[in-house]
Amino acid sequence: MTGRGQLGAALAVEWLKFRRARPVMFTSVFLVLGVPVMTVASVLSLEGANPLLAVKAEGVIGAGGWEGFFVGAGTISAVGGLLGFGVVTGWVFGREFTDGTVGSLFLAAVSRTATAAAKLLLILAWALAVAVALTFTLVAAGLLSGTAGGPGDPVIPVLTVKFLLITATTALLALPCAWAATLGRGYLAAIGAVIAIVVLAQLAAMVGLGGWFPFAAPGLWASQRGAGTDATTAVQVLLSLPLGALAAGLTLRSWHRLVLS
Amino acid sequence: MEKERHDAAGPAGGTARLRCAGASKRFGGEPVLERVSLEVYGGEIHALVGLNGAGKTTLMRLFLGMLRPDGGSVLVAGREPSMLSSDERAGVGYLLEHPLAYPELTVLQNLTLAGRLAGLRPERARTAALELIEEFALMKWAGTQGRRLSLGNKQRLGLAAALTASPDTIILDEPTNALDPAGVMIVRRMLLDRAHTRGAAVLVSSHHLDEVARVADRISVLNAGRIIGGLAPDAMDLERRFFDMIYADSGIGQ
Repeated sequence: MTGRGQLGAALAVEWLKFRRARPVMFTSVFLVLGVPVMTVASVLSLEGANPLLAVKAEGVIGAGGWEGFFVGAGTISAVGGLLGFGVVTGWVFGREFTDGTVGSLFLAAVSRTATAAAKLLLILAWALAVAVALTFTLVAAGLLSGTAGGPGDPVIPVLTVKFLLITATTALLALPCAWAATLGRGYLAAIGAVIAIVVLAQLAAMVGLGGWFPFAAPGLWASQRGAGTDATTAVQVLLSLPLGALAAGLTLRSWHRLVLS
Repeated sequence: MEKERHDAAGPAGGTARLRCAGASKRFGGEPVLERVSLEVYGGEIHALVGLNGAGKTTLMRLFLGMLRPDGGSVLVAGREPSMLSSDERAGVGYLLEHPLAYPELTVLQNLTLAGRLAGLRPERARTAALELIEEFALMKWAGTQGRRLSLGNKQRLGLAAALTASPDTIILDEPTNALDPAGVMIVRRMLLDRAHTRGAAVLVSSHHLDEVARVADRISVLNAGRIIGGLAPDAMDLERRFFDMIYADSGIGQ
């Protein structure tokens, strides 16, 4: 089999598993429906009966409107995306070890590197599809619930693109979970890595490292009103690209060199 | 008849499909395999028999490239496992410990997937899957998900998955695990067909002299990481002689 043939077969095999996987279905629903529901709930809590929740929501959303609505959604998605994409990424790689099926991938005509590459490509394509679907449901939720404002606001297109980029960026930042699952020989290691990443991102924001810690960058960008596209923020968010590429490269190398002791 | 075929394909007849020479492996300083040498030729069934922990699975892992030897050489089709081409890898079918049985996929889907991994085109992979479902008497469970299969049927699925691309080299670790007598007969028949009719080289392990070890052309006894001798498959009192060898090697009184 040629290298291209191996990747094609690996994509077909991985797609067969991916589209039937429960963690993928649950995470898709959690992100596509959960983030808009949480955003709308946050806006509604501004005028709710619980003053503590109202103060907390006001701190994120501010005066409301489409700007506030998207700040809230972006902040939720920056954490939710890391968690959701991290869990699926870790599961897709880690399940082969946990289920014991990794042994069947040795000495197969399709190389382990092709299998790992197919997994990475599918995860990224799925994450992009989820990010697009989530952006649609979010705007629809804002319009239908009346919590964001009217449909004619000129800021909607810019904020929509910004939200889409924030969510898609978290998918790149979740790729280290693939490496963690490989090194830890199972998805529990990846789930540990997701939790560590989220906690470290919060700590980085608190101690003032801010957006220079790549995992915190999408959340901090989300919290900036409007497009928030100054040069520093752009560079900080773009750091997710080399970080994602590095994680993918390390994962491919580990799968190529894999031994089962 | 079978014996004659074995001789023709044996050491004088060609290159060993599986060969290890002086292979050693240690885990945490503890020797698991010590200078093990073994060959398997096309057309023969070579049984590796030893008690639990003797090193059978470790030796098979070396052949499959899952582990690298600390000493000696391990060759598949004359090359190190990690150096095999895609087509050469497709020629090796194996089942080690965990069967290829993804819980969310049906038996048919799992076998089709195994065929694709072995390099078959989609339609050929499906045809091979259907043939193997029949051979391993899995027709009733073809549409059943892996998570709902009994251990025995999972084992049948794993064995079938190892054979999707009609491999010329077959490595099976304790293939009769969890199988009922009907399943054992299927495995026995399959081994004879693949080795003696189709010319595959078969390395099969067992912790006792079961029905599968008894159809072997050669039996090597592995104890404490060393090959301590061979048994003639057609000899009388095979079980007693096996334990005599083990006890003598371990210095245990009978």
